[in-house]
This record gives sequence, C-alpha cells and structure tokens, in this order.
Amino acid sequence: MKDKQRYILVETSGELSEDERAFSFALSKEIVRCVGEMRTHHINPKLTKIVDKRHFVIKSSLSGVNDLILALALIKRVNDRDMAFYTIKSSGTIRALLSSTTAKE
Amino acid sequence: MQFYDIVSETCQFDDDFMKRLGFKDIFTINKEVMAVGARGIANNDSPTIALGKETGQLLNLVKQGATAVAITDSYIDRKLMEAIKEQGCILCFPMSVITSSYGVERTRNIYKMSKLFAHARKAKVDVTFVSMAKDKTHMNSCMQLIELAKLLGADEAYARKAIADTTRMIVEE
Repeated sequence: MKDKQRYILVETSGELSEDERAFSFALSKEIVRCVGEMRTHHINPKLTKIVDKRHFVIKSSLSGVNDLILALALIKRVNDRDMAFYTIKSSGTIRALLSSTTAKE
Repeated sequence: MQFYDIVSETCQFDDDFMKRLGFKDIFTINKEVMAVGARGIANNDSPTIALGKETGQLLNLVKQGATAVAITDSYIDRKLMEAIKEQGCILCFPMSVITSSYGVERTRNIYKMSKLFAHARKAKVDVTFVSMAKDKTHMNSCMQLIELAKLLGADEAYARKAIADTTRMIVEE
C-alpha cells in the first residue's frame, strides 16, 4: 500500500545554490544530523522542486511531517553557509500547495 | 486561530515576511513590550518581561508586577515559581535558546526547558512559547514554533492556545 505523503513549501533566508542535487544532499545530511538516522527513514524526506531562489518544496511521509518541520526549524547551516528555513505551508498535493501560494501572490 | 510572537529589538523583518510565517503580529522587545532587568520596573513600563537568570532579581521583578518572565538559563526555584503563580505572571520559553545552540549544548537546553515546562504545568502557571529571535535567522514560522513547543512536552492544542492567546495576553495586559 502506498504511504500518504505531505508536501511542505519552505522559504530560505539566503539564496539557494544552483546545484539542486548538491543542495538536496546537504539538506538530507543536516536532517539526519538533527533527527538521527532512526527517525529520518520514518520521515523519508525528498526535495521535490526548487520553486525559485528562495523557495523549495520538500516531500515527507504523513507520519513524519512533524519531525521534518522541527528539523527545518533547527537547521541553521547548510554547506558551510548560514541558512534558516521557514515552513510556509503544507499540503497533501504539490498542485494544491503551489496553486494556493501563487493565488495569494 | 491567530498566532503571535515576540522577538528581540535587534531583529529586523517586514510585514509580508511576518504574514508568510503565519503570524497576525510579532511584538518587539522594548517597543510593544518592555524588557526589564537589574534596573527594576518603572511606573510607565507596561507591559513588561522580566529577562534574566538570577533568581533573586527575577523574584523581585515578579513581585513588582512584571507581566511575564523569561528565564534564560531555564533554572527556577520553588519560591520564584510560587511567586509567578501568585502574581498571575506568564512564563515565557525563549525558543532561540534551542535554535541558536548546537550539539550537546542544544540537547542540554532542550532537557532543561522540558523539565521547566513540566514543572510549570504541574504548578498550573500560564506558559507561552516565543522565539525571542535576535535576528531573522532565528525566527520561526508558527508551524515551527508549535513543533518546538511539542518538543518540550506540550500537546498540540496547548501549544496552539499558548502561541495564540497567552502571547497576546502579555501585550494586551
């Protein structure tokens, strides 16, 4: 049976790096450092989309979404750069998440 | 539910950013709410937050009528807890203590703050969770603030009520 997913729109304090893969790897590393290996598999985080230079969408399992929000609050440094993450909105589908955000703008 | 936060006077942010974080309003120390320490409370200071870690000094400020107390080292004695309860003072948990520390220091801070939270709940003291961020990096969205409160042992409903109602009570008093 497919696990239910949750998508979170995240704003960053600094500009995101061009290399999506490198950023995804660095962010995953920081999440593991914050919540530990045992709980990271439960979150199953995956960088889904970089929206613009300061926003991206990250996917997690429904049961691990709270841990992911907490981890994003605690991470203040990625790839030796000071960076804070602010969780703006969460939704069950990426379409709903992005459409409500663009509608507000 | 409308959420509120309190940040340090050095923290710079705009209204759009505040709205994106999910807050109705973010109050700034020494603007909407006065921080008091060794100098004591002046007559025109209202509302006030007693900030510090020296128990004797905080006890005096609570007795002088401080609206809220934020203990920076999370250590409290029985006398101070009783005074906070008697005066109807609000106990603030500055989350920047957790977000600005790393590694072992962070785990110690989480442990001390969760013990203080359990102690405060047992004593039936009003509690709230604020970021007290010194800069934008240590600010949190309301979703993150709720999760940080849950990390200290609060349940979801209590955390939401504290961030929405109790924080507003500090400024409106």
